[in-house]
Amino acid sequence: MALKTAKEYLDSVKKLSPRVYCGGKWVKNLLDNNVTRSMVMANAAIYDLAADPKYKEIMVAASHLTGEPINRNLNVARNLHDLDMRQEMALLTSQTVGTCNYRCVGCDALNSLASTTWEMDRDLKTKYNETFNKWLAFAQANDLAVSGAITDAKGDRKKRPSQQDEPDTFVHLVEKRKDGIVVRGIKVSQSGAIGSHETLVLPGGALREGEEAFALAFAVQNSVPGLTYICQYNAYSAEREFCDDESELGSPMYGQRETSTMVFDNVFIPWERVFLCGETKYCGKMVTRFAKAHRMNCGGACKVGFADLIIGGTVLAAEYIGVDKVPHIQEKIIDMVRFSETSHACAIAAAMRGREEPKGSGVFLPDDLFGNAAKLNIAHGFWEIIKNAGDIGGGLVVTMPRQKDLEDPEVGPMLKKAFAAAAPAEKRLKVAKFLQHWSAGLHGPGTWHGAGAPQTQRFMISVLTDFDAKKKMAKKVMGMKEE
Amino acid sequence: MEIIAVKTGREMTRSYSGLGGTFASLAYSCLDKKTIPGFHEKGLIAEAELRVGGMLLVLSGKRSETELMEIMDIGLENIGAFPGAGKAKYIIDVKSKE
Repeated sequence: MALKTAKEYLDSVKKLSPRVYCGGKWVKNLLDNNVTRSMVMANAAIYDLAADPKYKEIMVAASHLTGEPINRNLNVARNLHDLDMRQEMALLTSQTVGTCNYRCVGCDALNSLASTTWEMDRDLKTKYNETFNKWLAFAQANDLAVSGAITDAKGDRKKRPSQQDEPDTFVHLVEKRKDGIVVRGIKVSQSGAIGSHETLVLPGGALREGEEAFALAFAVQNSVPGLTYICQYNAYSAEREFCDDESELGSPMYGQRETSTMVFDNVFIPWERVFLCGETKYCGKMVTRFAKAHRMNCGGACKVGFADLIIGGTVLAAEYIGVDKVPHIQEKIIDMVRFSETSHACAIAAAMRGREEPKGSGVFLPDDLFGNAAKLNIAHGFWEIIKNAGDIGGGLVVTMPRQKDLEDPEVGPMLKKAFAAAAPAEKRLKVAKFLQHWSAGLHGPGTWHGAGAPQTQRFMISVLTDFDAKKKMAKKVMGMKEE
Repeated sequence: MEIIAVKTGREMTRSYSGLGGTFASLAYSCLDKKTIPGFHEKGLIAEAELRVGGMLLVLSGKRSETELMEIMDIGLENIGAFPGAGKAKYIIDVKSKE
């Protein structure tokens, strides 16, 4: 089997029993809990997309290992077209589910691993790339949902991993055995591991000599003993958990975005799933390569898909109150498109200016500068987009009653009278709730921090930009002599 | 790939195919963590012992061969092994305590 259907994915999830804690309770079954189910259903929708002939070019690739058709979420980019389709997949999946493609981080992690393990084998004569390719072929053959865990809990930011009072703030090695390794520590802000068959764990940042215990990359199965997932919980979680009708929610089926804190309590990882163990020199490369892929996809395409939904909702809101032809409203909507499409243009540029890295590896990664520009641009632009959505959507976006209140025999008629405008109250409240989901939800800070907070992009842009060359150009045009 | 055969009696055998290291994962779970993947409560495993080419697993309580197989099916799928055919590299002999 190369491509799973959504039903096959859901059937496979029914057999998974991860140790999941969500909102004060242990979750026995991911599909029985309103909050965790939204994550699983989003993943199922991504499987559905791959089965739709209309999206085959975007969602399906040919495995470079076997030649078989595979879900693009498990593909290693081998050329510019692969990179371009990868970012198009990020756009399409966001437009479709309005939340994470929970296989996205895993996809970018596996591209980084393909590149970096190849380099390690070349330089160090290790067997990591061979091990990784065997794991990847297995994941592709079974069309596994693979998520990624990168960010360590990090503890006191002034201290290095080995200096932390609590060593578990970074995932680290406990024991090297003949058959594998034992790890412990904490990864945070992890998207969708609860409903993924496997999660790729990468180092959270560059490491130095002496920090070998923290230099780890591996794949971990969903429900291994010792692994606990503690889900995020917020007002939106509570609303979903306790509502009696999910159709009333801003994003009824797929929710806001579900993350968890992954706690590794002496988890065993067999060598067949270990892709880096102790090689500190390569951790920075591994993370940087992940970041350059993820900034193109997360920044320049995924959030653009979200923006498409927000813009659509905002235009509807304007129409429903009869202000869609008002010049300043149109101007604000055009600004939303400008912010969004500028980022998408950067993502397309990052893909088309991508290159093989390292030379000879066969792995293509996006252009770093364009990818960072895409992410930095949307990090700022997204606030503007949701600001305009709140502006045009009006106070109703946060002051609205429940949609269901319209059906109440006593207050329903009052509310219908109050909120009917150029469209009935039902439509106005529906779109207001949708805009509330975005503009008063989790996606602002999520977009800011996802794929790294903007300061990391500013740093990368400062490193990647040849300011001396620019100064030289300016001097030449000014007729200023070189000193 | 690694083929693991599960025996829950004289009649019932089922094979699973997983990535190399799957048996090692299962053995660590049973011997060190005293649990089967996907089962978080303590006390399910009454006895676990590595043998040449496999493992003996005794589960607590009185369970039919079918029940034992259902438990192992969940355990193996939770560490990424799926039903598959082939020559088994490891055999897990599963018994009920009572």
